[in-house]
Amino acid sequence: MTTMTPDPGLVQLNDVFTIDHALRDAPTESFIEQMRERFPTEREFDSMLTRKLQHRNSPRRAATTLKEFSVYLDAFLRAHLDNDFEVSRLRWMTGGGSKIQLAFSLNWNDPEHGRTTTQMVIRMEPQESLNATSRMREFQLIRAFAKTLPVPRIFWVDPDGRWFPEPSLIYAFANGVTKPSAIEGRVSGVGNDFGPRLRLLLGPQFIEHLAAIHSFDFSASDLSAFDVPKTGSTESALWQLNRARRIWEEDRGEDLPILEIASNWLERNLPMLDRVSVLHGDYRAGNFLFDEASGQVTAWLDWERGYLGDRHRDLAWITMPLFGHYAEDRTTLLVSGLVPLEDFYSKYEAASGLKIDMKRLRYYRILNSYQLIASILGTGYRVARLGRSHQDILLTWIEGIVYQIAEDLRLALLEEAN
Amino acid sequence: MADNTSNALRAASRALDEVILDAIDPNHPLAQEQARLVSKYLQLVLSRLDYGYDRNRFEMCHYLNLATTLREDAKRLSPAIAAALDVSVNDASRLQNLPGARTPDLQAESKKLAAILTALIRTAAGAETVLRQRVEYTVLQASKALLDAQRAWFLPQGWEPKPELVTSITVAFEQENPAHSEPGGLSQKPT
Repeated sequence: MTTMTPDPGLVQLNDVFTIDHALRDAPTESFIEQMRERFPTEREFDSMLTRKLQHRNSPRRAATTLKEFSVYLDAFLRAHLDNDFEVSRLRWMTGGGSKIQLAFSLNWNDPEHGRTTTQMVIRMEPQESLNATSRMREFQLIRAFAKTLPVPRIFWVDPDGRWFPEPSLIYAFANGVTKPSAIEGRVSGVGNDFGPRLRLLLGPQFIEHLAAIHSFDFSASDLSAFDVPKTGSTESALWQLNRARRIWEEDRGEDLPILEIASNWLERNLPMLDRVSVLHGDYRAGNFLFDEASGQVTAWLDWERGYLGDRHRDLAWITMPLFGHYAEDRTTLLVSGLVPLEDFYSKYEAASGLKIDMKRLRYYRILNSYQLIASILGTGYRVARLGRSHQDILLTWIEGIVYQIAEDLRLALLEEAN
Repeated sequence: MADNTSNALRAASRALDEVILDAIDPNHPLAQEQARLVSKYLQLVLSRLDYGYDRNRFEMCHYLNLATTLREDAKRLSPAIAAALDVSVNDASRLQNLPGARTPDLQAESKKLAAILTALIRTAAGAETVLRQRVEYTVLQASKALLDAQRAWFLPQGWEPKPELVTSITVAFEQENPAHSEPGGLSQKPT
């Protein structure tokens, strides 16, 4: 009697045809559990992604008006302050595709400065975001770096959306600009040209601040919303890979064969972690403010993608050609429009005392490309399709970034194959 | 009966740029940013209006060519995937030879082929090395045409660091056209 070998393609075929638009638009509990089991990752990532899918079944909510925000804010402040405060100039801000931001003035009894008026920012998750990230983690990271880097003074967090419609945090409004006033800004600050004078002033700070983040001793900081990966293991890389694979599986509206090749390669080549660093997660032009006259960085923002792991992930992100541009000679790539690529590596090593392993850098370059494509073509598509964010038009616009990233990914994979 | 869609899109974009943007509350930067993006998106559509059908036909031909190249390897990897691929290749070939095939049909076939190819690549991850490498190499080589075409489509958005290197939209969709392809189809990595 002969036994039939099971066809390994059946499961895969079943997956690609049963996980369809209908299931992704309205995920069932069993689908959510399936995603959690297939792609184990950090607890907080898991929690945010699970929350995202569960909330997808709730009806689409109309955009929150300023008047409604004013009521939410008032209730929040009454719960956190005595009643002796006054809110004024509540207004919309722009700034990126993933979070809703408003500014306001608060006249209050500041425990540190007495009676004063403070300019503040509310940063709230939309009903569904391009990045399902944790406000608690962002809160903890900004607080941890208060004495190390220019970051906004952080005040409060509403981690579960108890007071606001969605999870939110409130920090001080930081003065400064994300780009020189003379140029037209690019979406999210990607590829902004700072010009020769500002490059000289901002470039060294850009490197020193990154070195400070990666060499930061976090042992005394409350980073309870973070898991610490084991050194000498591939755990850190696997958590990140699984997070990216999970969002592609949960959100995508199409199949892209090259992304599957990348996923296979990334799983086969998971690198070991040598040292646990704090990562900013989105360290680049557009995510820091500076004073245009002095060229001093005034605040590092957008810590929502920060985590504890391999510094090479940040380094690979920062040096993506997409986030920089070429200098006037058309051949020198300026990292984030600030530092020539070759100088960047040596100066980073000198400032941080940490070595760069080019093999791991290549790994994380491929992972970053995979993650960006999964996020934009997967989550961005799904969120806009369901009309769940305040920036649906922006989420559709940035599809145009994907294909040069995919071509870089293709070339990198071919290089690894040869 | 003239098709005046281009004229209307141009007028819509001009309305945003010259009338609506000026009237938006300057204290609402989000609204200003979105109005500018809407205008830019209309301009993108306008510049690509004549190529939409070619794009959809190209994509289906791309996946059809790739699926045809991988048919033999599919048989070694999974009978179920090979069977699904056979059906889809036949359907797509019929569509390819049908003058005036409708856009939704082309899109549906592209989607189906890309899904089966995804299942194939995922299955290949567990296959013996030579077979896996051949499948992956074939997909990587073939993907260039698809990515080139998409970069050409989105070029007016301004993301490309070296736009002069991107394929022109006027030729981007000719690469998978049977009338322009080399005999023998896609190349495979030698085993």
